[in-house]
Amino acid sequence: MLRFLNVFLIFIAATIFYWLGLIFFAPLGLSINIMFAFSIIIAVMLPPRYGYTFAFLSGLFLDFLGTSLFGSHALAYTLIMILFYRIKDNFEFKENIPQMAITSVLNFFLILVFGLISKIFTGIFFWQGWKDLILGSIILGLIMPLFYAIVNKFLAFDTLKKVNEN
Amino acid sequence: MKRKAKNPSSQYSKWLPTVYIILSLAFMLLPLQRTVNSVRVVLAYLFIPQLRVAHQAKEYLKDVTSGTETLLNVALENFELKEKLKNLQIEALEIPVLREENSRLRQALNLKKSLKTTGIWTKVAYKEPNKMSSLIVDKGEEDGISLRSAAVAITEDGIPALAGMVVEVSRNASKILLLPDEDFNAYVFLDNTKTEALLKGQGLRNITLKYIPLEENLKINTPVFTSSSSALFPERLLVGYISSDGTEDLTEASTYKEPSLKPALNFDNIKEIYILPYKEGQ
Repeated sequence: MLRFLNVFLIFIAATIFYWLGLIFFAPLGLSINIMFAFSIIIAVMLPPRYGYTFAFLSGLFLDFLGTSLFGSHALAYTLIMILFYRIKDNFEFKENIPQMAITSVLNFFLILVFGLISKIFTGIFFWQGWKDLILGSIILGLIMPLFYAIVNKFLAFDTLKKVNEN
Repeated sequence: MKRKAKNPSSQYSKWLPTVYIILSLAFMLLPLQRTVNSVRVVLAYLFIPQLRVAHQAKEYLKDVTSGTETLLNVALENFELKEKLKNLQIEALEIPVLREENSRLRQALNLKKSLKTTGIWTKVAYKEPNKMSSLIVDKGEEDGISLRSAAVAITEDGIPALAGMVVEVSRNASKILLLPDEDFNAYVFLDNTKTEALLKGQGLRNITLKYIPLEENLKINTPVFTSSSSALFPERLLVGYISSDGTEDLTEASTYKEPSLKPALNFDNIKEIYILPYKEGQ
């Protein structure tokens, strides 16, 4: 229950950061997937059921706020999260560089997968632009260590944090 | 080594992505747009302060449209009321004129009774203010006006007085020759002595009486009436008042006095003329 509450608070924090990201990056014409960054952090720190659920709910949250096909973000986030769990053990995510690299690459794929889902279900490839694809992914990777440190600090007393269910 | 696989939570974690994928697909395929839109609105309101601010601004400004409309209506109404006020002011200015006209027409009704004859009331359509020798009225042959008919008007005291004579008639208008015109002549008599004289216009608003014997003692302001000797005008119709005793122009060769006459009518103010029917030898 405590963990659930923690994750819920992290989710609320993620939405706040998402909103701040909108304020700071929207004038630059950039859309930063901060919710995705938090999903990865949860997936790294907590068991997969939290990671998948967090990613799914984050996607759903964006679906509710966005105007694109409802469910497309949720599906894209879930698919990328599957991918992440596939490659997770090959990297040491506690280090900053792997965090940045993996987050950037996965965000890159997330944008493409999202566009592909839109193409399949609506017939239109939802293209966010090169700016979002490259610069957005790089910026998300650069700020990832900051979010990781915040969440890590927050979950420092969570005794189950380090339980590896896999 | 593979103890984790036996963990029940790990078991359903394997199915979780599949469940979420199915859910996502269901969301995409099912017709949930209306519900989703409702939730979107609530979430947007809760999570995005900008939208909340926008909503507050919208709430604040929601009455602006109706307020503006009311303002425009009030402005329009104000404009219309100003126009009405202008018209009323113009009408108010006309009231004294209408009262005056009403008064004249009342006197005119009395005139009909006093003259015991059926004439035609006409309105002055045109006159030359500088000469005041003739004027045009708005009725003519079609209305029964004929040449040489007597033209009568009401004095400021409400007394009917001779104005002139019809000298031209067209279909819808007539020309009245007024007393001061040089071509105007009429037999008249002095009220006090019954002495008859010939009234003759002198032009430029001047009128004189001719053929008054030298021994006649003329008094200023003696009323002068039309004589029964006149073939054109009814008897005892006021013409004017003597304004001089006629001695000023007398010479040794003079055989008659020629006093001047002040007409009873103010020709500048005549608005209506009553045309009497012309009867040969009346």
